[in-house]
Amino acid sequence: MVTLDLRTGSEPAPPARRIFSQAVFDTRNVLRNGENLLLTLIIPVVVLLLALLTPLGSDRTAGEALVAAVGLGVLATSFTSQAISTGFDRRYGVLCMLGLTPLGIRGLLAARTLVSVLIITMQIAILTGLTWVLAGWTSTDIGYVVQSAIAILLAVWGFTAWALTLAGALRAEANLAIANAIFLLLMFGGGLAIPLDSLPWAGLAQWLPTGALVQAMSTPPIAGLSFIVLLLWGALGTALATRFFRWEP
Amino acid sequence: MDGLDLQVEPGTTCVLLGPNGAGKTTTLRVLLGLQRATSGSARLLGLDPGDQALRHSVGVLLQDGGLPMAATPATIVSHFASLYADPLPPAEVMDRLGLVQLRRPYRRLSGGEQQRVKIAVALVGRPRLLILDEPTTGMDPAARRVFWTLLDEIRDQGVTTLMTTHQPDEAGTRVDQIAVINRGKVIADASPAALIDHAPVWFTCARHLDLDPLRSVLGPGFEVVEVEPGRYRVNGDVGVSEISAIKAWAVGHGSSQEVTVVRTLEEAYLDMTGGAAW
Repeated sequence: MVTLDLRTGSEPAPPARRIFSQAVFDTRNVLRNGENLLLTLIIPVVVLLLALLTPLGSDRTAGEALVAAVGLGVLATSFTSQAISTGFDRRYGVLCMLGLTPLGIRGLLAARTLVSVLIITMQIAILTGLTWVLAGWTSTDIGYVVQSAIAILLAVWGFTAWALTLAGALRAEANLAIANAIFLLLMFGGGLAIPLDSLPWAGLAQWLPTGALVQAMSTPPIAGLSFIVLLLWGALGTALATRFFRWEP
Repeated sequence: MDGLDLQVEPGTTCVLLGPNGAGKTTTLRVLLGLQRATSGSARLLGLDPGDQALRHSVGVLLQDGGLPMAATPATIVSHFASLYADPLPPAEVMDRLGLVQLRRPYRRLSGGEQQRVKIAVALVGRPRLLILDEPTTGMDPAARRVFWTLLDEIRDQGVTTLMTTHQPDEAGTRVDQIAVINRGKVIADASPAALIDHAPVWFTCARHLDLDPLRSVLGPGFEVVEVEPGRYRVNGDVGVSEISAIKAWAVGHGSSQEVTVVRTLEEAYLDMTGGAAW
């Protein structure tokens, strides 16, 4: 029988290694989960294909269809998927356990944000690749790429904060139901699956985080207001998450 | 908790014993910084419970502290190891806790198997202090034996352990210190041997015995009761001479064979906590 050598203690791993290790661990779990894949990858790809290949997308350019699909991916990953997984991890005491390791609560938050960014990067690569193959769309405008990246990062921040608010304040099942309901509402009523301009409530929808994200990723001229809307949603979400998020079951 | 006062010496094993709701888990939660005491103070390895420096020195097993449901034990143990600079080799920990054969996701493991994974996670970072809440819950007798042997080994290497249990005899004489908690207070804090010394003694006899002669043999200061048919309890400060007197008396008064007088930690515990289940 092996004797475990506990005569000396151990220092924690360096912070970057802890966060990266947790991010890799979480990404593997996310990619292995069928429901998560449906939400974060399959639905955005289907929405893109419908817009590019069927009459449903006739009122959209390929670039607009891509922006909508990316927006959907960002929403699914940093809000819905984040809220559901954090809610269940909280219920099962996983957050509490990880908070008591050298990773700590801040490390876990950093890792979870990194997971969202990793998965969204994968989504963008796949969706952009598909749009290029099927519709010949490319962008060489660095300014546009930077503008979109900033919009996406602002949206990830806001969605993550709202996800943590729900996951920390509600029971896991209620959180699951509400996160999915909000996903569907924003998908169909927030300027993603159906273009903002086609919505009877377009004036209202541009104040929603998804409407603002789509507008912020639109081709120039830059819609300054949409960045302000994303900032406001992010600030409000952060304030609520700080107030309501709990780590423990 | 109500004025709870407890100190555990480095390199020793201390068990918190007490009925459900006595305040054992709350005590551990305060020590881990998960809950704040309304008054008083707690120190772990000389540091405040919330101190980040404790995160790599304390191995934790909590009743409601779960592990990632979809991951296998091997992935979980390796992942927790990766959070430390110089962890135990995950394969050794897996081997020692009998986890190598378990390839199912954590959620599909039995309660005892999940508990063994939790112990592996608590140990893999080479902790200096272990805080374990009901670590043997759900374990079969073989797994319990492995656990207690492991705990002996760990203590021999200078690691301090503070753990809770409901089962007094399980802690037995293998630990250095037992603190009995009831209604948020420490009502006894001593070595197992010292606690047993003050326990009431028991003996059983197949025949019904008339107890009055025994009462006069033992004299004042002792109380003899038949708790259930054929099962007798002697309260009071029973020493070696009283035990010999009980044995001699029982043989002379109808017991066909020598009676065994027992004194267990469980009896000591039940005596201290009032013995009522609810």
